[in-house]
Amino acid sequence: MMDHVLLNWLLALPAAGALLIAAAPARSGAWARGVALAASLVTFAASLVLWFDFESNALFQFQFAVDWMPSLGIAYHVGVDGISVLLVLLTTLLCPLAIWSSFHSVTKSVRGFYACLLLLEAAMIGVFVACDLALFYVFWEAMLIPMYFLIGIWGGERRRYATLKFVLFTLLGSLLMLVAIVYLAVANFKATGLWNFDLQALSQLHIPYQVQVWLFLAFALSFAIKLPLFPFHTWLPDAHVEAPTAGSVLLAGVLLKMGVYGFLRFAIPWFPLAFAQFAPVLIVLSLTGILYGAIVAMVQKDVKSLVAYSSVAHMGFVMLGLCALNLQSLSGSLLQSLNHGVTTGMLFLVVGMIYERRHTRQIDELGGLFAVMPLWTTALIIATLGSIGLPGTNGFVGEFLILLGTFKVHPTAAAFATFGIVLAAVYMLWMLQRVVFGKITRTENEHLRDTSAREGLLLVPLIALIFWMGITPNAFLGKVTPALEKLLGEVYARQTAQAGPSSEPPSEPAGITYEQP
Amino acid sequence: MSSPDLNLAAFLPELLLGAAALVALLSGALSREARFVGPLSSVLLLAAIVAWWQADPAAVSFGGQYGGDGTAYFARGLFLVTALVLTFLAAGGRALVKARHAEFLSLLYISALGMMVMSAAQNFAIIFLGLETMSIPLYVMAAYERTDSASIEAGVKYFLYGAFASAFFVYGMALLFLSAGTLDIPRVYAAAHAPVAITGLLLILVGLAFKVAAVPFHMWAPDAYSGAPTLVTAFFAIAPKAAGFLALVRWVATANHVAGSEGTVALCSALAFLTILGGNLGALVQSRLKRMLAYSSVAHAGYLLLALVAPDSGGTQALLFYLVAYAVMTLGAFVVLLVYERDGGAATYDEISGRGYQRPALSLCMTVFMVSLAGLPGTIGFIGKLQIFKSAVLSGHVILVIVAVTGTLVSVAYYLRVVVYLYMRGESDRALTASPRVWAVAALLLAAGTVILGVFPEILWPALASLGSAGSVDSTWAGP
Repeated sequence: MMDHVLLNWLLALPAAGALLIAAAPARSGAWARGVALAASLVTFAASLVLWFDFESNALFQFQFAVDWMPSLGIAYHVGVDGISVLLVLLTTLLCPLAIWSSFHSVTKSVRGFYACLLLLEAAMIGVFVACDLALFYVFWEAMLIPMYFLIGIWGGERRRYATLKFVLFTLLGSLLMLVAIVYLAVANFKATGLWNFDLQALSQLHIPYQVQVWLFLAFALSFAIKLPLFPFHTWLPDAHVEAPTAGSVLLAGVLLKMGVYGFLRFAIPWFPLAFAQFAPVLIVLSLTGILYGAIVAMVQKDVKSLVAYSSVAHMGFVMLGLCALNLQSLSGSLLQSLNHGVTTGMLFLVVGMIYERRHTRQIDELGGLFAVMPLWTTALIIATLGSIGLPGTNGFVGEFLILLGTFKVHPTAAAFATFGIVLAAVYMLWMLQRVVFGKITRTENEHLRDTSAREGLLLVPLIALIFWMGITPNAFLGKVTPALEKLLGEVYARQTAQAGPSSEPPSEPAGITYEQP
Repeated sequence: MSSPDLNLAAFLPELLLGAAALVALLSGALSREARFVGPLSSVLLLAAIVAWWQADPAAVSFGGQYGGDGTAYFARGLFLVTALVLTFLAAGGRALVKARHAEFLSLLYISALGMMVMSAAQNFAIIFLGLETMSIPLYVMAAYERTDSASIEAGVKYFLYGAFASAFFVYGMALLFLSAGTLDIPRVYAAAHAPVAITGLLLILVGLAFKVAAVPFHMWAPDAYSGAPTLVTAFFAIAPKAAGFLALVRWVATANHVAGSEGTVALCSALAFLTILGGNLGALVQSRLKRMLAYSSVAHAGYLLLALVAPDSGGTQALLFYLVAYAVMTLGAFVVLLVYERDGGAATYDEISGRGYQRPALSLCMTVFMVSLAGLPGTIGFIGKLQIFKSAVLSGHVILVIVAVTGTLVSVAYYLRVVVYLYMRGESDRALTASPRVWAVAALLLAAGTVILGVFPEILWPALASLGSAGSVDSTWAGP
């Protein structure tokens, strides 16, 4: 059961594409574009096979394992369960779109750009499929380097500041996570006498409450920065605004989801007692993020930073659903993560298109665009409606499930979060009103070209997904539910098996001693 | 008292290296050009490496006072290979040292010989002998650009601080001898808990801490590094530090017996703490590349000290691995810097801006070295740090590891600043100057090594692990 090669292909195809691009002569931009698009499309096709062959159960499927660094106990072990398979699919879908969207806008160091994008894709897939904690960490940080270059070389005015901030914030979390990972491996070594980073083995560790708190904080900080949870979000507006369109799409579409994935895969199931302890804090931070993101988005003058701050609000919703910790709320969070990837990815693409034409994203320099760009306007409206969660679109299902699940356990929090939905409608529709409706106020806007065939084709799959996921969410949730049920079962079992923080300290199995870090 | 068994056969690599030094010196006297000296001494070095490869790691010379354990064997190989690599790099840099090429090689070999002696000896007097043999040629090499006042200044500063450090070491040895009646390391153990012996060991530690540039004994390093010719700086950054740390491994073993392990661990922890923070914060505020690399080498000394904190939990193995990793990536960074300097200066960050588009392959190598020095995955620097952190956590020093990752976070800011200037500041307008091909080849090979050993550390690790555990370390920790 450990010899499925499909996931290896998913990792190898983009990496091979990057090598092919690097091997080409220096001035061959067309070759780089072609190879990048082909590699990402083939990867997407392979991931479709993964999706259709994936069985609706809670097990890790398509596993492949081989020793990598045996003396360190690190294995190359990949596999997907219901949680990761959707995120892999989201990644492989957004990558070709991001690549294709850059064909005209990126003219500088073309080879490097597409090589970075493909390496980023391989690393992102790796994060979601890794079944070995050390392998996960390797991919988690490997993803930083291409993103660092994408923002730093092909970004906007303040790119150097934005990219360094992005890298340092991410590393601040992940280096502490590295300490926690090493600590877990050492605890496992003390318990079993073997060095092992396998997720399955480490998840079986019995970790006393006092240690759980520290380990949870280390993991959660890393994921909260990535998510991003207020107040760790400050890197996000800078990085999103300065990144090139393709970078913004992948940053919002996939990278933020790694935070969600990290909570679902590690922080919640491994340290359930500590999570229960910190959940109220996280809920307050989520609510703050929802309201703060919405209010700040309202006053933005730049469309792209408006979308960036709306991400803070949306991801606050996702975190809220994680904290409620029941099947509805978790399904809602996972679905909303995908929704956010699709709608925000689409919003960034649409904003990128107007930037290519006007070289500005200032709201007051646009206005009345419906008259000259009806198709483009339609796309913007659909993405906006998906983003504010109009019934029939994907955003509605996700937010509804999150609120439903949250209401069961924390009704007050759910009530506050509803304000966030109202505010989202306000800032998005107000933006829409100022950008596309009314009269054209600037002469530069009078003769803008509407979407080209290429741009239209880019948006069609995303539009289809917005409605498809909105109307038949069970097509997506069906394969996730078993994994989430298993996760909840494990968390509840552990929370009851190990004494809660308020009662007497949990008994430790004989022969295992833990040291307080 | 019978004469001890010399066993010069096991000393053959050192003898061959010494022969290479003498040949280089003589040929420099016979011919000013001395074109043949590089190839000739390379042959002798290769013979020394073969002799080392064939040797039994457990063989001892001079009546058991020299060699005999894995660390010693490792050290001798490391310095022989370093000397060979530097010979090749110096062949590319003939213009750097003009007609004094042969003398340069001779000094290099004498210094490397001193390092081998220093790190393989089992007696503090012999360690000191090696330390001085290593240091005196280094002072000369620092001041090798006789017409450059910065180089002279570097040489003088290095000499003054070095002499100061040696004085500490000698005084410490005297006290140790007073207490134990011997300087033989295993026999010194008998002087357990004698205050005089402990004082002596403390003074020896100060001397060694100067040599490895541990905070607060690091002040000489930035000036010496930035003033010396870059090729010499590369040698400074890797070799004396490695020799110092291998001597520190013996010091820790001695101190564990004489002063008890609690005190030793506390002392090493404090030094590691100060060195990691001091090195990284110092590097952060530099505007000159060589000074940044000098402070970065201080910071890496801090990580290596962290390995010394936990010698019995795999720290010694981690130390050996990190020494190799550090040598590969640091040497690589300096080689690329040599090329940038030829192209029209690379003293400050500003001067290298836009070079990434001018020298794409080499700048990519530089990026690899910086990423590896910063310890990101996929590079040898990451595996090195992972090993050290693992050993430290296993022995219960989680707080120190958190300090170390904080330092690493700071280091990312200054290492990536190099990459920012290479790629994100517009194109360079400097003229390209032909550089020796051997430098480009060396940079590519070192970058390949950085990545390959970072992805497949098992190529190197089992051999190093067995060497690190042969002497002082319990080998059961290593798992499967």
